[in-house]
Amino acid sequence: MATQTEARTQIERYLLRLRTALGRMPDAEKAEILSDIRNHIEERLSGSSGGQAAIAAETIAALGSPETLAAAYRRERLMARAIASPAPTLLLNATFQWALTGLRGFLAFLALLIGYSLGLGFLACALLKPFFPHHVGLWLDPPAFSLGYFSAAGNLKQELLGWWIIPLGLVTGPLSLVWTTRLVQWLIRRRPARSDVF
Amino acid sequence: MAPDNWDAQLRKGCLELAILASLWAEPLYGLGMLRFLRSRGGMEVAEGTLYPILNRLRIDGLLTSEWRDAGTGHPRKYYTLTEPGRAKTMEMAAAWSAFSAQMDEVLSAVNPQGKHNGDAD
Repeated sequence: MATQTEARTQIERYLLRLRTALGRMPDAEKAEILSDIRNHIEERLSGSSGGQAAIAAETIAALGSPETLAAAYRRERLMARAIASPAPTLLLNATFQWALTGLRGFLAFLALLIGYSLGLGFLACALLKPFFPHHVGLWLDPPAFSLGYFSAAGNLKQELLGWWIIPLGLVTGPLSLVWTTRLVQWLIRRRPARSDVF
Repeated sequence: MAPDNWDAQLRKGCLELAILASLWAEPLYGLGMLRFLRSRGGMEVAEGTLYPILNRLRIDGLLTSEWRDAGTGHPRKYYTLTEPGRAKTMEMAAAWSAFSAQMDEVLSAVNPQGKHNGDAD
């Protein structure tokens, strides 16, 4: 029947576009998503007696464009993975995507950047102190504090921690990294569940 | 901040709970969940919204899924709440009930008959 062929063509074209739009993702996950959507369409087709092509078109319209649907899948999936894994790249990526959608996301992204920088900064100081004892430290340069390496650490700046920066950095650095990760994962989990935007 | 936008945001915020709750009594497949939500609460959930959320809830470990042969010529994927999924659903339902009760109190001045308007008079 012509209408049946037409329905098939529509479905295959939709799934092909969806596959492309899903982009980089493990093949198994992609296959799972495609079969979910395929079966959903089949279910609609088998449940109705009207013209197959019309029902296929209606179902496809209800799913939204393949690009929009793929974007929703990618976003939901990214969030789930960022919460489940401590990988900084995933968390940075997910939070950056969130930051693009509004103030809350932006603040979370800012917190992530500050926390990571602080953690890495403390760690770097602790590790560099033995090699550059006169240049690395926590400097007081009123009214500001600065942490790190200064080539011209003169009289203007006062170093506050001395060798204490090593144990302090070794403890504070990793703690800051871990707590930043947990905080941002918690924020992601608590984000308003807006499925289309976020 | 138009009222209709607020309404949409409110619905979306509750969607995850509604999806989890639809699986409370028994495992369902996607279309079955959409029908359940429509028949119970008159909720129209878009297919394009449902499936990505189901996929995430599955990755989060709140749901498991299995393909079953339904005798319809193609398999159906049934979703089941896991133990963490049931716990999460109960937690969310309790939060919702508490919040809803608070809102009813707050709104009693605005809307004196509230949801018990059948009892009035």
